[in-house]
Amino acid sequence: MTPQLWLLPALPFFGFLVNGALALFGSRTENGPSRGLSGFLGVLFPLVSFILVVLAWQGLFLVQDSVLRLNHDLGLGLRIPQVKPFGQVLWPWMQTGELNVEFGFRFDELAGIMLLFVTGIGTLIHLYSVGYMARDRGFARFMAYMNLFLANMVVLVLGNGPLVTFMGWEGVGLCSYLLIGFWHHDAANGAAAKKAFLVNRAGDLGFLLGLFLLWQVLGTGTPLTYEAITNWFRDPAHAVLLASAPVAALVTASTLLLLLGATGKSAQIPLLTWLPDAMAGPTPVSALIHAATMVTSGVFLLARLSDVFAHAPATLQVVAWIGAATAAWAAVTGFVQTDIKKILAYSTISQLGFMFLAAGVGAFDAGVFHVFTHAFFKGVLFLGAGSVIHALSGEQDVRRMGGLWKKLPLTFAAMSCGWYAIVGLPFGAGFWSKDLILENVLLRGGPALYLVALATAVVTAVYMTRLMILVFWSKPRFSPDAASHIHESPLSMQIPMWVLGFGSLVAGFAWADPFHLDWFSRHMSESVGPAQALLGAGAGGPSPILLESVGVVASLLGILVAFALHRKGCFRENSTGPLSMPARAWTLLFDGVQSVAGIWPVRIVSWILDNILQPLLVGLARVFGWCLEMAGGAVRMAQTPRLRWNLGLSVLGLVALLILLARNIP
Amino acid sequence: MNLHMVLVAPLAAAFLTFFLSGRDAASTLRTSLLLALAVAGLTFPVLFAGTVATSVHTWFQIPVLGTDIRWGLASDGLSGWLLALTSVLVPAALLCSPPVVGDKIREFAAAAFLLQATLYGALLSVDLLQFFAFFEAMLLPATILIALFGGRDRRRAASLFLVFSLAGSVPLFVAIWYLSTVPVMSGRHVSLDLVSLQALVATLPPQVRLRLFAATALAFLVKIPAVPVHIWQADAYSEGPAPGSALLTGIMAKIGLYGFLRIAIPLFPQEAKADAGVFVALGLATVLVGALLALRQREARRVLAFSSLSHLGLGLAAIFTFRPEAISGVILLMVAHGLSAAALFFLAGIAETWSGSRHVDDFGALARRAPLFSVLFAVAALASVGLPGTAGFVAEFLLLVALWKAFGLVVAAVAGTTVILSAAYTLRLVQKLLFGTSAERNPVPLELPAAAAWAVAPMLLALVYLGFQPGPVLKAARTDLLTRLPSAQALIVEDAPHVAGR
Amino acid sequence: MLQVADLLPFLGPILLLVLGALATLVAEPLLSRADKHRVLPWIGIVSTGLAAVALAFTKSGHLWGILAIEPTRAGLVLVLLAVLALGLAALQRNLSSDDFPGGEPYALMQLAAVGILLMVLASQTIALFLGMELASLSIYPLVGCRRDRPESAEAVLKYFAQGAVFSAIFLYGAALSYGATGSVFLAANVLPGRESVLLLGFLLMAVGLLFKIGAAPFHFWSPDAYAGAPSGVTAFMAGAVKIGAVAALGNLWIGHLVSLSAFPSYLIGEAVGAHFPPISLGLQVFSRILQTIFQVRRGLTVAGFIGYSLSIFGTTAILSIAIGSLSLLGQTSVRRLIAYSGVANAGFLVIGFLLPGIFIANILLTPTLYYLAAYALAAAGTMAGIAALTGPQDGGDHISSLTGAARKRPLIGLSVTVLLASLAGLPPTAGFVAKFQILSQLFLNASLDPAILQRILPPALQHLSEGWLLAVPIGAFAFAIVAAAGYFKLAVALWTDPVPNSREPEPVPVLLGWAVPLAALAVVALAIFPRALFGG
Repeated sequence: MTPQLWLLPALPFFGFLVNGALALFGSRTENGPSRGLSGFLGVLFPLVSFILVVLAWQGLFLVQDSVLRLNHDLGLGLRIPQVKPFGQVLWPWMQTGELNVEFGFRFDELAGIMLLFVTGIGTLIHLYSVGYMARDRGFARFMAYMNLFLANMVVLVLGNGPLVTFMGWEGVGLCSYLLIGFWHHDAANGAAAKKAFLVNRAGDLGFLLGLFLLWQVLGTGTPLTYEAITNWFRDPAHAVLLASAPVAALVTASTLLLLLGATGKSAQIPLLTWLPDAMAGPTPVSALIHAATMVTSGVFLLARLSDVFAHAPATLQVVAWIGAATAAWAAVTGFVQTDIKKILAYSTISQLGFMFLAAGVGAFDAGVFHVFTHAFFKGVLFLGAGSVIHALSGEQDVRRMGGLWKKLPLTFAAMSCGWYAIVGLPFGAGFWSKDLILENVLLRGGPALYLVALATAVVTAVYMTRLMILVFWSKPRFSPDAASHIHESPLSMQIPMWVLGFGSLVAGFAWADPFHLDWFSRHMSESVGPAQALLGAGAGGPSPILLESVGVVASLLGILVAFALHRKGCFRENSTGPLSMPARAWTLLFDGVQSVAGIWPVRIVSWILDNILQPLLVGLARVFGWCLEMAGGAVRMAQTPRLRWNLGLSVLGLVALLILLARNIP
Repeated sequence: MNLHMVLVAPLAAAFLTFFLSGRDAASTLRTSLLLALAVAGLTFPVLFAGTVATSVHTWFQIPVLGTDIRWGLASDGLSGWLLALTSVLVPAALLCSPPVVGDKIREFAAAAFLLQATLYGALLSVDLLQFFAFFEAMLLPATILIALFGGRDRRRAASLFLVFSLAGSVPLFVAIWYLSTVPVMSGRHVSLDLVSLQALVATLPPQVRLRLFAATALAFLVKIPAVPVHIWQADAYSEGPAPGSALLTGIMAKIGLYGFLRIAIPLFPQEAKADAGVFVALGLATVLVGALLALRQREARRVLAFSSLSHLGLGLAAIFTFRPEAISGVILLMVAHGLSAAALFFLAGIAETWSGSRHVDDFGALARRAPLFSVLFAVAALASVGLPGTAGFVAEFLLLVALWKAFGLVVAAVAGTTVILSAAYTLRLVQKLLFGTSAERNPVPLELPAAAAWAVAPMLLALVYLGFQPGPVLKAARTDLLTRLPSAQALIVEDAPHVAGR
Repeated sequence: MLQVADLLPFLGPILLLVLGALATLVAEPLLSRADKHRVLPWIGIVSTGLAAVALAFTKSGHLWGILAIEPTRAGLVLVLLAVLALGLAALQRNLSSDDFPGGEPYALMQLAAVGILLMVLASQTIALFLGMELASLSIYPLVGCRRDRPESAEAVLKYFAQGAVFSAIFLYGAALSYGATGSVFLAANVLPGRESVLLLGFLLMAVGLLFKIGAAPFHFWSPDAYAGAPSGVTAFMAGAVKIGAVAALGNLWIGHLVSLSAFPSYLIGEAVGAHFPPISLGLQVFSRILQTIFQVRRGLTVAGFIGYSLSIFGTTAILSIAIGSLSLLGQTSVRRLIAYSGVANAGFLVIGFLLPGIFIANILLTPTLYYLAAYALAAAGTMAGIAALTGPQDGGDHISSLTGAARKRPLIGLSVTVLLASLAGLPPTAGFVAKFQILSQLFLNASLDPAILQRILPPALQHLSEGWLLAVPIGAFAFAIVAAAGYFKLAVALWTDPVPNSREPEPVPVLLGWAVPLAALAVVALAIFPRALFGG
């Protein structure tokens, strides 16, 4: 029996179709299509596909194995068996010349881990949205978009080759566009959405071109599947070839272009400007797409092609430094923000920077592990923020909040878990993953990167604590009328927060070496193991315990600093008005870079074409036309109404001809 | 499969609509629609029949020269898909026309059928002069379409189009004279049918061949059109009636690319190969100029016009890589662009009837006021942007692959900027039309005519289907096309050995 | 010596037309004013139809060398009859719509047709002149038949005055030719030492005919004459007069070639000195210019004769095409538009005399005659269609007055559009094939073997490059496109929305309602079956 992998994306996609139909045909009714139905379906389909993923882990797609496995698992609790990668080719996609791309899916452990939290957390956030968007006119449309996003995300993760991944890659970009611009009556949201799409497209071009070069390395005869690519790179027979200068250069160039694609999707330098603007979308969107899943697909790509990147050390250096720089810059930027979602957005960028850093130093598994834990704690942070905004009926400025822990205890509790995890206090999810990264950075990347990362960790603790202080602990600063109807959010929003909050406390134990828990790394080994082996584990440095304690100290330091600053009133929570000038300059740094490097040149050239080239060409045609008209006029002037002129001219013509002739008659 | 029947069918349809249809628009629409569907029903078998041909006989002989002008019809994968595309777009245009052309539906239908007939003729011709006759005859209905139903400046736009196209075809006509006189020089008795011409042209001196090739190419460049002979296009597409513009860009423009594939390159392979660089440069220039101009247009249909310019420019550039990917990709591009651009023109035309203006700022908030319209428009826009999952993506990907393989990464990157720019101008259009706040004071809900929805939705479904299953189109190029272009087949390049000489 | 029995089938078409005309004249006074326009045209049509039938029974032959007929001429006669039918149909519409008191115009038109028929058949100067005068004298009154209108009077005056002058010129030429050959036959041996006289005579006759054709610089009469005449008459003139004149010019031209080549022949159909090398228009135009510049003087050889006459033809052809096409551009008067289109097409017709085909046996003027047929049908059909579309009293000569006319009469409107396309030389009409045939042959000279060029070219021209020779046909075609822009304006006007308050046009007589679409159909059919009329 072939594994019916197509079901995984198909189910959410079906949900999209149904909800889309509901939205479309319900749009004329005066209060929209039934929220209950579309909400139920919108959550149901992701849930089913989540269950299918779990089953896939159980290998239940492969019946013959599954029986054994179940017997074997009896009594062993939740120990999940190793899953052999298996794939399903649906149909030939592009076949011409030597191009032979088949449309298919491949389920291996990397994909499986991603799918677990993509569909799992996805389902939770769908549930959350049911509560959050309940009063919105476009509820069904929202659920439709979310389902479509989930379908595309599954395709992205599950694709059996770069091109299938690319389909999901662009698909999620589209959904992010649709969801950022969900409230489209406001032109600003539209602009933000457009920006996100275009910046991502710039990255996508890099993806495609990098793919070409990669294909050239493989020899254009090779099919474009991950299996073929990894096998080719792992094949010892190709070691010599890969060592040769031209091929090495080709690999480096190709990986750099692919990296461009990754930075676009994961909002890293230089393509990071779109993510903060993307906060224009509804908060569940920010939580699902712009924190937990889509933005991490860049890291996923790095891990997916780890074998390729492993052969391009130069590129890895670039990756590491891009990650470090992004992490540091975004952390500082997050510190000066006043919009609660913007703070979280920059925090996300910063954490993605950590993941890139990990991949850059060759610890792909650590990077993906951080993706995994980050999905939990950033998810809960966003959901909590959403619930706060919900409670304050749309207020997003942290300077208008404060002291909410009394009024929103549950939200407070959930967010605290997230906070605990992200600052990296012991045994929280972030603690494990971040310290894994720091450790790897020190061992493989060297002290410079380590110090940057450590400093970033401190700043992270500072701005996250600042967030918690300004929202929950400090004195209330919101307007009294807002205070009147502050309410805890409904259950549909609470449950996801609790689950994710709990997750952000315990998810880290998926890979906790001190406790000899290595479930995660075991399952990553098949995908990224060889690459990391190739890159070498680096020299044995100080003991992990020491490093972990350093990390803890860093986060404690950050927390203390935050409280100190708060006491000194450096947060200016009572001031209103926009960001201070240096803060804005710092924030808009890369927007400036982009507009100078990309937008203005295009504008100028198109202006020139429109105002100089076009008129010139049109003018030429016009002038030619006029010349003909004038010639016609001139000729018609000879046609006088006077008979004597007519006759005269005719005879004159005759005479002229005769003279012309006579001169030649002897 | 009687190709003559297929060729005559749209002609007959034109006359039947013209003389049988009742006075009122509704009955006219019904009649013409039935006829259009009947024509489509006749056409699709040709597509599925693969390579078919009628017997070829002498049409007339030029006295003294003794050159045979042949008459015959033949169809293969390339022609077949364009025929099918035509036969789909015509009924769709009819369905979308009532709001735009009003009571002139009868004239519109007749003109559309005439255009279809001439297109069929050009696509089926086996003789150079026969092709040219239809190629020129095409101008008549096309001009009528622009001149009769369009906006304020339609006359000027139409005459600009007519004169441009006529002038553009002068060199081709001259080239045909020359070829028809060759027998006298060479003392041989030949005919102008493409197959024997290939042999004849091969015997000509190189510089003559070069001139002939340039003359032939120019005519097709004007048709596509390519920079710098593109200035007729924007006016024609924006002044003409929207469904008419859809037909012009959807099918007529394709004849330019078809001409390159069927005539210019097979007849002059060496020249084509030698000057490939020129045409690739022209194509890329067209891509960029079109995209950059589209960014600045203030009228919806001008944006679409320049977007067509840009997309077809990519096709032109890719053809001259002579790679199998390119040929398959171009055919798919023609089909995909034909469907998506036509759909956009249809919908834009209807939106114009709503807002009573062509200016993008006079639309807005249609997503709220006309949900169905917005869904269709958005999908069509995404298809034209080449989002994966639509045929446009496969086509553009194949073309980029071909360009990369033939000319390296830089050229592919330049061509690839269309990925970003097309998204930029298309999304700009989408924002202006669908999103934001309505330009009107008290926006009322708008209903997309059911007919239009029924016309556009299947086209979009076809786009998505071909996006996942482009196999048939690609295969058409692989098998049929190359068999009819022996000399072009010689051009199809093998891959350079692997970098490391593997 | 022929027997009368042989004579009758030979003269059948002419006699039938004459009988028709006479019958019209006899019947005219017996009919009431209203019935005249209902009945008389039909008499004409019937006689025309009978003539066409009779034509089918005529076999090739000649009448003492005065008149000759063979398939080629028969084809021309057929076209002529078609044009006559169109003219009669349109005339009926004109006269009935302004309730013309008399019925004689129908008879006049048929007599004019007889005259032109004679011109086509004549292979002898006197017969030719008689035919020409019979045609002219019946057309003058037709042009001026609406005495109450000033433009009509102006037209007939101008046409008559200029026509008289050029008839005289023709006659003088005929006299000279007689003096040179001692014979009135077009193809008679030239007396030794009188070649130059013959040449002058030939040229004067040719000019007389070029005037009828309406080629520049002898075209000044046509716009005014066309504009003043009833549209039916314009239709007839545009088509028929050119047929007669071109055919006559052909006879004249071939005939004199024969005379000079001392190769007697009465019939065009027979082999005519295949040993003459192909000589091209472009070549000769430039040769004249250069020779006049370089003062090249050469004795009158046969080639020289051809060269000189060709230079006349060439100059007129280029002038006509240029002037006609350019004048078309800004034209707002329908009739003048047709007139200038006539001038431009006359240029192409004259080009036809320069084709290498002329000098090669059995091919002769085929492309020219094909062009002639295509043009005559298209021009006459267009004007007849205009007659059907214009308002009462044949009013509204301005293009704008035709706005939306085709929307009210789709069938006729469509036919007129097709006919205009044929005039412009667009497919799928005969105009396209005709232009292609003529120009592609002309183009042959550009691609001639240099050795041949060496033989024909006068020394002054040895350095002529291929580019020079290309220039002429390409230029001609470019002007044809300029003209197309002119026709385009009329076609668009026909189809644009009618003026809202315009009243329904009065019904079109059945005759005209059928004639115009048939003409359009014929033009398309000629394109699809180009070999129907003249073979080739």
